[in-house]
Amino acid sequence: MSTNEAPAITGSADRLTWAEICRRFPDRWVVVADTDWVNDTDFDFRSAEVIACHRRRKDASPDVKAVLAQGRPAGCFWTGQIRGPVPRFIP
Amino acid sequence: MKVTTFDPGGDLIIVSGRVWGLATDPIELRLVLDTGAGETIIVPEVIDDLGYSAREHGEQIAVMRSAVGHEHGYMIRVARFACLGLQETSFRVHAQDLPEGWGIDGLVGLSFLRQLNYEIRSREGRILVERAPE
Repeated sequence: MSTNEAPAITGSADRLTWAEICRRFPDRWVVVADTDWVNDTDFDFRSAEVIACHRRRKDASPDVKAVLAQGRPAGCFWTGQIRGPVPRFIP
Repeated sequence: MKVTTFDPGGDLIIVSGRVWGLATDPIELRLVLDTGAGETIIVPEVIDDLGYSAREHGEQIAVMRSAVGHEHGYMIRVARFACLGLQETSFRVHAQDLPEGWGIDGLVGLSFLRQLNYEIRSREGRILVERAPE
């Protein structure tokens, strides 16, 4: 596994659940492969192979491309809180 | 009828999606369902990772008016896009940067949703979807 700010944390063949991924790599973009999706509609998967984690999405691009080049679907997901287009008000 | 579930306690309706390159397996996405957005937006990093090039495959420069001003991007036709259990081929999306801290890959807007009949059951955290008849 490659990461741009710390030594490798897991072996490249580790398969983790989403909860495990979020716990081990908080507030990171994680590149995953061979995701075992529960169905074709929900963001629910049984496990996935964690390839890399990065602070910024654009830093993950080489790892995403490498997975695709191997003929495997890739995902790159943020493990922290999703904010999105929601107005935030400071009290 | 396809059923998609989401967290009914969340601030946003987050759904999964997939987008394909011209000759690649898909990239899996996390998207915000936004019935107030006209276009379906995917961040340029994903489009680039799939091998598309704005110069070679982009259809037009696009400027989107938002609450905070004007956002620049480009329109591009992807080989296939899937969300909510249904998919479209040769689907036009708006490649546009979103703030890094949002943690999403894009928005599903009406350009995809208008081909469907759907019911968002917010209290249940479920979206019921069927393709609208031609």
